[in-house]
Amino acid sequence: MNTLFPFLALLFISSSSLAYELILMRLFSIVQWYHFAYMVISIALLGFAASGTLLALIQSRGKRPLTEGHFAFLLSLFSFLLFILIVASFYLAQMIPFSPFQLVWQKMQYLYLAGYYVLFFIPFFLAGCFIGLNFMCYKDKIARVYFYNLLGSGAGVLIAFLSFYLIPPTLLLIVSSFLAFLGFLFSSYKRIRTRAYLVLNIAGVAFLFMCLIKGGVPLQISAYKGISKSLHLPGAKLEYEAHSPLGLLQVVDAPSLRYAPGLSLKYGQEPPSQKEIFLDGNSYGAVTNFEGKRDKLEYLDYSTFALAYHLMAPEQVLVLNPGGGTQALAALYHSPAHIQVVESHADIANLLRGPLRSFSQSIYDCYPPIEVDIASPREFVVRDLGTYDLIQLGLIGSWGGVGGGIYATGENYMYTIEALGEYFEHLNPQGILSASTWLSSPPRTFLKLLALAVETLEKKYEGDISRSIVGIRSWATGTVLIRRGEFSAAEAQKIKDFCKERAFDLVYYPGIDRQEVNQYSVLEKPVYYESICSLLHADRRDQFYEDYIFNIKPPTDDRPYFFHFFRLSAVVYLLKTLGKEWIPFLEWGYVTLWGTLVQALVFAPLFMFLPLILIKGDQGRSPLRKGKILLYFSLRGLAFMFIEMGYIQKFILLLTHPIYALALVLFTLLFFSGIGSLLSSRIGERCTWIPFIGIVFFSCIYGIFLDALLKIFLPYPLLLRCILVVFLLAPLAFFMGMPFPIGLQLVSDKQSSYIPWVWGVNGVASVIAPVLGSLLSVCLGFHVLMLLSLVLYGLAGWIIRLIARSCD
Amino acid sequence: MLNLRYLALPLIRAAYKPLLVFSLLCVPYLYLCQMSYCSSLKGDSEHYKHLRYKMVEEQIAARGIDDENVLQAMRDVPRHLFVPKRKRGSAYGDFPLPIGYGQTISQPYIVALMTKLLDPERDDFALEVGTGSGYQAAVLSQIVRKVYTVEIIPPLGKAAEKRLKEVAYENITVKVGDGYYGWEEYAPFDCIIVTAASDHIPPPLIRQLKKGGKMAIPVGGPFQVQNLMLIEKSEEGEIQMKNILPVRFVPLRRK
Repeated sequence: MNTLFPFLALLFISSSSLAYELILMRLFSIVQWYHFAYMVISIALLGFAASGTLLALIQSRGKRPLTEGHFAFLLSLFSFLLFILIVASFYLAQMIPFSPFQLVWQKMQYLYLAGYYVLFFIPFFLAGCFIGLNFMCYKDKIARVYFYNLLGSGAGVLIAFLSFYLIPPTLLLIVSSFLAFLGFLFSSYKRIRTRAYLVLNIAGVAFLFMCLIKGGVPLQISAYKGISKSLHLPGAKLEYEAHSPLGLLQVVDAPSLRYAPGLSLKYGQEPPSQKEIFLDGNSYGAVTNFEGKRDKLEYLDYSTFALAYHLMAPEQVLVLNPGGGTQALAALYHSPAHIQVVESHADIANLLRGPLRSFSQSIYDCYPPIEVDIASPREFVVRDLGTYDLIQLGLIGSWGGVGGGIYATGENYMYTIEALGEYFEHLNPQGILSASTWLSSPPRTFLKLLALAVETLEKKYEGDISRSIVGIRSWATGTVLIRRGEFSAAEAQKIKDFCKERAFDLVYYPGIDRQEVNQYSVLEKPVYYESICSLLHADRRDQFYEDYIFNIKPPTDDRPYFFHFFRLSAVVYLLKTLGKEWIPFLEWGYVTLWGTLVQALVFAPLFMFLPLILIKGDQGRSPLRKGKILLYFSLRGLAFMFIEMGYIQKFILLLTHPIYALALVLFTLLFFSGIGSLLSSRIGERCTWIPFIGIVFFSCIYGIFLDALLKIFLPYPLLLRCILVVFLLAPLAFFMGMPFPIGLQLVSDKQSSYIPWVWGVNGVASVIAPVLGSLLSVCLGFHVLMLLSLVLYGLAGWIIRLIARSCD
Repeated sequence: MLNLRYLALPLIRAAYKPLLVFSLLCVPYLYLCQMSYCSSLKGDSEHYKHLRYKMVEEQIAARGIDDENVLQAMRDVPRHLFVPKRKRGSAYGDFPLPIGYGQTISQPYIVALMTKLLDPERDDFALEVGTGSGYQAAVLSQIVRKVYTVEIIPPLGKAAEKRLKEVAYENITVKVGDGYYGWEEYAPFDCIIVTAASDHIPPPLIRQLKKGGKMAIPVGGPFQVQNLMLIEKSEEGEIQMKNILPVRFVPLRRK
């Protein structure tokens, strides 16, 4: 049998399924919320695991072994169905009135959710069947099959990533569908001239053509997302739309849209005309038309983040991530000599330099004294040699988003102890670092920011830290200032005056009296003041963290989760004291991770053991022990994904955006693992330990030197950083690609009927591992995750030696 | 030649049993759904009255709201008429419900709590920003002399106006417009409820609040009220805010 065409079919189906996964994640992030997307897709991926069961069933039901013709027929069938269902399942899913927020109240929503699962499960199931069938068909060429599988998957990542740039979201699924169609064409190449296949081909082309003419699959964005609500406003119009891997950027113009975060109740005027920016349907900030008149920006002086300008007249100001330019305008109102703006979102900068140039008065494009640099704040401060009187950080989180906990599991390297330390080093003597956040109730976001400020000061400032920190809050926002120096008594008076004029509450200043706090926006207890007092005492701090009901320990580069507040240990307490009423405090991002893990663990045993029941044959005489095989492939699957996830997280810092890190790390790992897989056939049964030594060796090296390397390369151009990532990951990935084909070849040689089962086990591990990995990373940190992956690889290496010996 | 029977039959044989079981389970489930839907459409006022009293007893009074005016208003207003027809069966549940356009009708307890916080009196004039279904306005209208309510989304505003007329709430006036500006014509108000919270409190509303008056604002994402803000304007015109947690979340430290 000519194997090139079938392998090309495998390559296309693999690329189609991985592109499909990434595209689904993108589309779900637009129409719903990222964390629910994650939950649905993780469960749908169980389709891969379930495919093992069907393959075992097909294998066991026949009296004779499957022939070449049977394989060809099944491969064509699976690929054609996949091609159709990639588009159809999403189209049908959009008809289901699923609303994730109502899951808590409405039982019917579970049925809708189940509908989602089923619809997205089927395409992955078909792709899993196709790939698994290839392992069964070419049981003596396992390494080559895995090579094409990984190569295709790597290509799928690249294709999806490029599609995010080039193709509007409504047409994205057609890309994946087209790849599946190519897979179908190559898998049915021998029967291409028969009437049935001709009809299918024509039908396929017509289907694609029809999808293109119809403009793809229209997206039904949730009615509860900011963009949907804004478009309901009278006179609202969608003024601009652009797409990239960073998200779907939309600008809405409506007369009734106004953005003035936490504006003082003492400000009596209306903010100037604004347009709201949405990223993936969520509010990102607003662009303000101040008509070039400084006095139009007065409203920004009535926000907590304006405090620093009342304590000094800064000449050099650095504004990091100003969220549509608001913080830059706040600086502009106070007329410093130079405002350096750092915008990490290139699309936002392009928006303000392009379509909204005149509306925004060109603030991002030739508007002295503003100068704009497109870079991540971390990248900028590492390469920048300047020092500043004031460094202003953009408002953390978004209105409504903080409380909902939708960012709980998202990495954010802008607000870690290391990050604030780097910003602090760019301050002039007596310079101020100002950071602000939305408040949450019960208090946690601002408390975490205060803790972050205190611990940064402790690391970077040698004087009395209690004299170098100030905190204030309005009814909605809180601002903390830390200084390279001390706040004077005269400045303390200015802080009090600033707060009194704006009805803001004092949280802390050097020499504050307890009577002065909690005056305007009254809390039951002066929680913020009491907390900062505990935080400023190093001996009481750890106990305070321990006792507080939420996790308010400051994030570090190892655990960069600013919005992760939930403590598992608090669940029992919350349930006991609040019953069902604690639901509003749930952090959905974190809770859905747990929900996904529980669901995966419920279904996993089913798909792990069902194929075993179905497998018939001479199992009794087999030298292979099922327990060892199960353990080996589970450990390998978990370890592979842990490493993959760990490096995606680690390289976000270097590559500035999670999606860049995901695309590059995934592609590199898959591509070089594919090469490793191809060469794995040259490793004899006695040398099965070689790849494990390679993995452990490179992981240890990176574990020791990676942080230092990242710091060195952060200031270099993005292309060079990408090359570095590929260069670093290639050898590790090369070895990581070997354990699966080595193990499967052993199984195939001794007991080929186990192949569907092993494929199912591999599927289960690849569903559980990402969820478990995310939770481990959030709870214990990146280093623990990497260490665990090494232990798992070590154990897998030991087990494969035992398996190989038993085969001798 | 490919033997299709060889492949298809095992597949059918394996699949038909689970499919049969699944279908058998689905039939009674769908029947129950249909029954519940049909019963929700019936204008069974005694039935709803019973549910309403139960709601007040179990969800509102049990959580510590003892203002008899508020409790009576909650007993009197037929909440099921303010939710979409197909959701009437759930109207008296302890949760918010969607009413279209990305808006929700608040959980009964939150409606009662906000009304209580305003401390409304018989002669008061109240303003509501964000009419939604009109339920909050209807509850308030049972206690105060007149309620003015503004809704920015025209279809919602018009539907609420029609509904309030049908149920004969004559002391409520609905306007479709931008609630940011309040309702200057009838200002000042003794109490103001802002049900559509935004990132800042509109300055015109602060101006339109009478001295000694109160304003309540719920804050949170969709289907979540995380805290309520109560703004009080003193006789001297000074503003003070209170953050009120709608649940018993006092101890922030664990023992």
